[in-house]
Amino acid sequence: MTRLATTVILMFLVAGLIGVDPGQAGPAPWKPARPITIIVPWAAGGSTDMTARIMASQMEKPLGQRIVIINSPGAGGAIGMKEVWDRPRDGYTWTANSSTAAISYAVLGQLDLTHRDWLYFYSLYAPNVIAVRADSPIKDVKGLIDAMKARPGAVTVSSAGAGSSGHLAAETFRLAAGTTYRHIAYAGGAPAVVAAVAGEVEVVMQLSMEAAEMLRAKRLRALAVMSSTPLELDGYGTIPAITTIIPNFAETGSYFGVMVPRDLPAAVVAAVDEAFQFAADTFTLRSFAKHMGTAHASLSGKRASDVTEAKARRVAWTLFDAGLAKRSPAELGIPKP
Amino acid sequence: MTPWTLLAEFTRLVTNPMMMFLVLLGGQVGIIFGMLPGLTATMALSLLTGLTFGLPVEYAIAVLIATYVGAITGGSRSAVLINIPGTPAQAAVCLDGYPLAMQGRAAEAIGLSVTASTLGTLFGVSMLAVFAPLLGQVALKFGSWEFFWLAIFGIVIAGSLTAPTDPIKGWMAGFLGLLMATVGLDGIHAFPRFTFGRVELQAGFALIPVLVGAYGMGEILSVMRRDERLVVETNLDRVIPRVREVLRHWRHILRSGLIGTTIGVIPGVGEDIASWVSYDTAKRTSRTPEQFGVGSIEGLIAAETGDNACIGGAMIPVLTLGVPGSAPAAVLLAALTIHGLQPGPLLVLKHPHVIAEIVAIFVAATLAVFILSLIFVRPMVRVLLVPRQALMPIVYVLAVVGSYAIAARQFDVYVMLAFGLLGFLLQAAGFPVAPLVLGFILGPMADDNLRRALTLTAGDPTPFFTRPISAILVALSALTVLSRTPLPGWVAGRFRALRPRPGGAA
Amino acid sequence: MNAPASRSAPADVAAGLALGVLSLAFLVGALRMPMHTMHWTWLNAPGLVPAVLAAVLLAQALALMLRGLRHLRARSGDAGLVARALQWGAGRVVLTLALALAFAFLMGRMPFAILTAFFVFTMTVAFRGTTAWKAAASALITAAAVTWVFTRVFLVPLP
Repeated sequence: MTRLATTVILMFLVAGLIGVDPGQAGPAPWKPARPITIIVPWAAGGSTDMTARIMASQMEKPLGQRIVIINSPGAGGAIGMKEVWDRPRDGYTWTANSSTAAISYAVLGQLDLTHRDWLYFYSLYAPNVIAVRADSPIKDVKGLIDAMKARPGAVTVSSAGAGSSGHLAAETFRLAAGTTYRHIAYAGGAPAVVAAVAGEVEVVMQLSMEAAEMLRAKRLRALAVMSSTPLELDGYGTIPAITTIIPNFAETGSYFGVMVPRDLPAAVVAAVDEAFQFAADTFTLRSFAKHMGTAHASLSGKRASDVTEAKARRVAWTLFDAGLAKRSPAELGIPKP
Repeated sequence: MTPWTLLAEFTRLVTNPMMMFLVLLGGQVGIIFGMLPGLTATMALSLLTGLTFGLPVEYAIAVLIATYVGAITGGSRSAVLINIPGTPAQAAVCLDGYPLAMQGRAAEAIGLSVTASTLGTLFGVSMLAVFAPLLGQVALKFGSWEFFWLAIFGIVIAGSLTAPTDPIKGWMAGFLGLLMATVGLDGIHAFPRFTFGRVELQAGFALIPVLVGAYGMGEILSVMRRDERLVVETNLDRVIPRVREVLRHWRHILRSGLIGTTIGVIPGVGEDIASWVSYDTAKRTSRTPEQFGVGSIEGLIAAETGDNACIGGAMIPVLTLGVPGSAPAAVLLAALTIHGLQPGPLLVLKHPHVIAEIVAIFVAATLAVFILSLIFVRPMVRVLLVPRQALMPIVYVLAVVGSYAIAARQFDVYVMLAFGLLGFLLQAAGFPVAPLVLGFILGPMADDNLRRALTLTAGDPTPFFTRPISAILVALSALTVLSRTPLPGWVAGRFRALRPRPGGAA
Repeated sequence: MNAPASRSAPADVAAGLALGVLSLAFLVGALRMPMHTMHWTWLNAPGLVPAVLAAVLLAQALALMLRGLRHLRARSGDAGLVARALQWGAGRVVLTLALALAFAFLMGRMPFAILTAFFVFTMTVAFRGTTAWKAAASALITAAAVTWVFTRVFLVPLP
């Protein structure tokens, strides 16, 4: 009797340890046995890093394991992405990035990996916002176009670097409004925004989450959000949509989230997805998204791949039209939008 | 914020046992990270940000702040004991700390450096409490022009300080560092420079492997080269310095504190430059400048006060503008943000007590680190009794792990080895290593800001000389070069004839 | 003021030569970068700063080499190069480097703890740091402590 009880208890203990219910058929769900590493290919403190950290904190509970963040910045994130790709396909190494960056590497000729090689778990969508210093004489988008026409190639616009989302937004604006500007690159989104606050540049078109705090503090003034719907920013007010001035403006913006190689075992992907679904729905992530002036998202699987593919058409061809592409998007099989 | 709210916050903190436990824990973790070459304050903070996410905000911030203070204070141990700076901030500490240890005064040197660190941190934090809003504005006055000159100024000072008899070697090491930093994608157009088509080289050489290589590996090689058994007996009865001895240097402490805080406020420039500039100023104003580099107490105190005062300074733009004043402060900024305390101009409006609370945590953390540091001096000093040939294999393992751990790249281990050999050869030929590393750190700053500034004005260089802060920096750099140009032989004449621009001829 | 310069003369010539060649290579590489494209003019060309830095370093290296040569002429013959290198400790430096490279190369190809223990023991004994017993103890303690502290406490991935 005692022996039987011991055996049963032991069975449950063992089952609990390896995570399998006795008697359940079918493929065993994946359960990580050691800490998972997310290699963030950007510096600590940036938008990607913050998103990854907050997602990791919420995904730890359903996975029952610690998630460790390692920052491996450089080459616009290309190196970190390649490191993750070169790791074994055991599900213990993930990355985190923005959709724009993941798309750009192949087009910019930095990596052979394209956006189709990854699976996405997006929890945020950040649109680009056109902002100027609070005391700028430029009052609205019309005023900005007039200024750019009055001083061709002399209105300075800061961005987080060549091919960054802020640069893409400025290029999209240039093509849509038929104007010119002077591109000033900084080492990241935050320094680009600070340059506008300090008055070193006149305009910044970085992502909403990067400008949010300076907008709330009334150091910057938003002219428009580069999307077809206005943006409601906590503690600032409504930012008008750019489409009220330039009707068929192609929306720019980036999704943010965790990414894993597409060829991971299905059981691993299912486990990551389950943990992601849980995390994306938490109050912590929702309030984080709202506070950062971004839209909350919960996209994974085919839906995430589809929105990435749609973004890829815009991003890849804008890079091509701006003369930044090393490889033609057509050659990568990305059709014109 | 009145002194009373501060006092109330402080009392509340120290009477909370959980809080005190976490502060002590964070402080000790920080000291260990700071001590081990290759593990930096930045890394300690970024690891702990994840580990403490589940804690209530106040506790999490307390752990992180204590770790920050601990790491910047703890780095001087390895600088004094094995001549390898624990974090980049302690490069200047090596100059006098290690000679003191070799004279058998290691315990005294550690005691003094810990005391100076503590005073420095307290100075920086009190500046944070008093001037936060005001100094936040100064940070915004630094544009691309000023950052460029700041980088050049840094090289010029470090070069002339570390090669006092032959400054051209110091400046050459600095320029070599600047040049090495240009490998990789450039910061403006993402154009691959000197990468030979290799993806690993696109990110350039990472800072930590370069630092650990140049100092750690270089030191390993130069110890192993000599076949002598060097065991240093050190005097252990004086760990806690006498009050009078410290107070005698009050001028250096105040001045270095002020310099450190100001440099901390400037975004992107951190503890490493703060300690160099403090050290330089101390040497210029000292009555015994010949002692500097062979075991000067003044130099040690100035460098340590400077780098620790930088902490409080670096927090000022974090809390008032949401702009990090140094690399570890950037991680702290991210941590505050994900805990819902978005740093920036609105922080004080939304959370009126938060600055008082952070200042109180800083004060508690500083005192905790002070006590922890002094308790363990004696066991630490025993390191000097181990034959160095037996110690160095272990240091090498730590150097490898430190280079590898930061980004988990095997390539970084080879970078560490290569820079170790480079640093060793340069040192053997009479070049100082510190400007090489500083140049490497400042390379992107000089490069991006020069080109960005030229683009902003469409090629007009006049703002480089007419903007007020720029003009001051130019004058200081030129002064340094001219005052240190009694170069041996004809080089001096040649340099004078050319009327050198700061940094040689840039 | 001339004393240190003349004592270090051979090292100055060697260092000047090596750094001169290195900076020349950087200069050529920088000048071959495009100076003018549709994205940039010389004002913000990627090659601008490396070219200027390399040119300055080249000039400094030449100055150092010339100074060294002038002082070198004043000196008379020395012992053979090989003998001097050995006396200086070149053999020990090469051995250290070889062991260090072997360690770096074997990382990730065998368990880290075993590799560490093996390396610390070999190097300590090779350089007569302590007795074999103490070296073995130091190797085992280092291997165990490093592995445990980094993987369990700091959560840093080891190869």
